[in-house]
Order: sequence, then structure tokens, then C-alpha cells
Amino acid sequence: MLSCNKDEQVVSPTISNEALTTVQLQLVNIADASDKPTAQWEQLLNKSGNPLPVDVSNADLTLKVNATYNATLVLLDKTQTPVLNISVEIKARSNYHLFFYQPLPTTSALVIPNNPQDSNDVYPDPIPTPIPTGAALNLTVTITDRDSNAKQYPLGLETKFVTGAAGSGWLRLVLRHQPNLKNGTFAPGSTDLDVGFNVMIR
Amino acid sequence: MDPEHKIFEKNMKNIQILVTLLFFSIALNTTAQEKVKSYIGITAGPSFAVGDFSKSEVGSFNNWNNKAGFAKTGVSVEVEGACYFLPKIGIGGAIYYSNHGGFSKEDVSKLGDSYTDAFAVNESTVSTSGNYSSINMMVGPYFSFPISKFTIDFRVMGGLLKSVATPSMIVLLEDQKDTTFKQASSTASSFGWQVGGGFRYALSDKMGLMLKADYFNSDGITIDNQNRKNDAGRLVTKQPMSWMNSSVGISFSLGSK
Repeated sequence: MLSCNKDEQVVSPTISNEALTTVQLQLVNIADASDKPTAQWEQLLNKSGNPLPVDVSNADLTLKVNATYNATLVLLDKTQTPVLNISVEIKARSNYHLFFYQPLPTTSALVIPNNPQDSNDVYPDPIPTPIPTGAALNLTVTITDRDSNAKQYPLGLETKFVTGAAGSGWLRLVLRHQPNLKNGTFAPGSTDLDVGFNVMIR
Repeated sequence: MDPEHKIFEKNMKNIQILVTLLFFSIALNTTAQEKVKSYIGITAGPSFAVGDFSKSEVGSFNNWNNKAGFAKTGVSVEVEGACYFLPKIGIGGAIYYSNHGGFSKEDVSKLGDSYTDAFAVNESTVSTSGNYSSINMMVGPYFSFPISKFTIDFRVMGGLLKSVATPSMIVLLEDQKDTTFKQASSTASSFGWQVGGGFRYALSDKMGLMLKADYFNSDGITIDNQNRKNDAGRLVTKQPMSWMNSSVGISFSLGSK
């Protein structure tokens, strides 16, 4: 009873086995409440649980020039009945999750790394690989919500979209899972979600 | 501390105060002035972890039990004694070592499951080592009532708990070594209080047998954690400690009647 004891065990229980099938961006123009653009990226599963082709038929985000939008990200699991809102789960687990938004093309340093020399590093549909040369997309995305860590890192379910002059491009969205690693940067952890949208500013 | 234990603690403190006043009153008013001899004794016996200290529930997602100690039934070895300045009232003290085990295999499994859920990973590896062990030094009034060869003792004491060690734990999430965090063994100290009773049976003028029981409580010692970068999962920063000691031993009378 008085001696040291050592126990070591690997445990692998199942946690919430949710699928991120549907990603919706829901925006509201702060100067015009009737201007509410939305876009959806979706990849459902077949009856065997295997992914079907990505559906980007509704992945077009049309924004007005020189406008500011409040945006909400909604993640759904449509394999469940009723449909499960994964955003709620992500918010409850915000202290080790972080979303990254990458407008493309850009002349700034990439928020989400991409290596054009690596043939396996491809952009998600509908974003082409490589990105065509052209004018930078006049879109700035700023995360407005925070987690409850001591340093209150950003989360990314709530954002502000600010547009400039007219143009077109894409928006890449990545969710990083960073268990006991989250420090506000992209590098730590692994990618849970990597999706894209077409963006038109006019 | 859960509400039930809070009520228990409050009741124990009230009982402690009432007992102290009661025995002061009895001791001062007793006319049969059979004087109790000072003594020193050595005892040993089981020590039963109670309250939050003994609990082995990790809690549930975002409602983790950060006070459960997973402590077990262990042992205490004690030297105690009292010096009487009035026929039945004295000042006494005790120094004792107590040990309350560490994490069992079942505990480690529960902890691993909790961190796997807390961080939404596929698996966690939890390694633990060490036991709860402490040196406790208590002092306070003793009230003793001789009845033939028996002496019935009651005491109320306060003092210091000095942790020698607490169980340490290392958690690795999904084999990513950068995720590793640790709950360290603590050598911190804290104040505690103790109330108890027992009796001594005189085998001779100088030596006797002792049988006693004591309840000990401390709000707890600080626990250090290393590399906890994100706030998720069970996190113990202060460990409440409470136990019931029951022991037998030998007493040695000091001085003469």
C-alpha cells in the first residue's frame, strides 16, 4: 500500500461520431438588413457512409461593393435525423477549435498555407488549383467571436466580411482541431474541414 | 465541494464547537477530582478517505469534477499525547503519517475516457504514479474522564497538513507529444482541523492500551499542472482532503498521581 504504483492505459472510446456534411455561410448587410446573401458547400454520404461528390451548386456568395456584413457559419450533419447542428458542438468545444478564412486571390501572406509545388496540396471545390493569376479579391474577413481560454483566442463561427471594389474570386474555409495546442495560429493540430466558395462582389 | 458535503462539514464544525463547550463545562464542574495523568501514545490503523477526497467520479462534458481525489482507504501511524493542567482538561497534540493510495486501473480508464471526450480526440494515453501521503501535526484541548481502569478521551484540534506526495498524472492526446500535459505531485501544506475520541485501558500504572477514532478535514492543498495550454477537461488545482482514522496502540503514563 505504501509503494508507488504505475498505471498506463490507452483508451479509445467513441465520442460524437458526427459528419460535417453541410457548411452554410449566412450574411447580413449591416447597412441593409434585406441584403442577406448565403452560400452552401455540401458533401453528403451514401447509405454505406461513404462520401458522395461535393455539391457546390449553391456555393456562390454574392456581395455588394463597399459593404460590411455580419456573418454566421452553420455546420450541419445531415446524416442524422433530425439534422444535427454541429456549430453548437464546435462552440462548446471552442477552446481547441479555430476557423481560418482565406480570400483568394490575394497579394498578402496566406492565412491558410498552400504549397504550389506539392501536387497533393489542392484547393477544395470549387476553388481551382492553382489559383489563376489576377487581381486580388477585395474581401477582408475578421473573426469576431472568442473562446473561453485564458487568452481568449478567436473561434470563427461569427465573422465580419468587408468588401471593397467589384471583383470575383473565392473563399477558402478551414477548421483546425487543436487539442491542448490552440495558440491562435494555423500550424498546431489537424484539419477537420476544408471547403470553398465562389465570391462575387458587384 | 458538493452541497451534501458542505452541509456535513458545517454540521461537523457546529458539533465540534458544542462538544468543546460541553466538555469544558463537565470537566470544570465535576467534583470528583480524580486527576488524569499526562501520557504519550503510539497507535496505528486504517485511515478511510471520505468526502470529495474519496470520490472517483470525473463528471461529464463541461461539468468536470475537479475536486474528486480518487483517494482510497489507507493507513495512519501516529504519536500523540496530552498534558493535563486541570484534573480533566489538558493540551494535547498528535503527529501522524497517513497514506491514501493512488489511482487504480479503473480510475485511469475513467480519466482517459474523460480527456478523450473533453478534447474530442480518438484516444488518450494516461499514465499515473504515486500515492497520497502526508505528515499531519495537530494540537488542541483534550478532555479526559477516568472511570476505574478506563479513561475516556475527547479532543478538538487544529494544525498543519504537510503533503509528502500526491498521485501524478501525465496525459497524451492521440500520440501527439506536444499535447502532453501533467498534473504534478504536490508537497504543499494547508491548515486542517480534527475532532475525535477514544479510550485508554490501564494495563499497569505506567502502560495501557488505546483505541481511538478521529475525523480530519482540510480545504485542501494546491496542485500544480504543467503544459495545460487550453481550458478543457478535468483540471485539479486544489485538492480537498478529509478522512476518518481509527487506530489501536499503546499509551505510556507520565508522572505520578
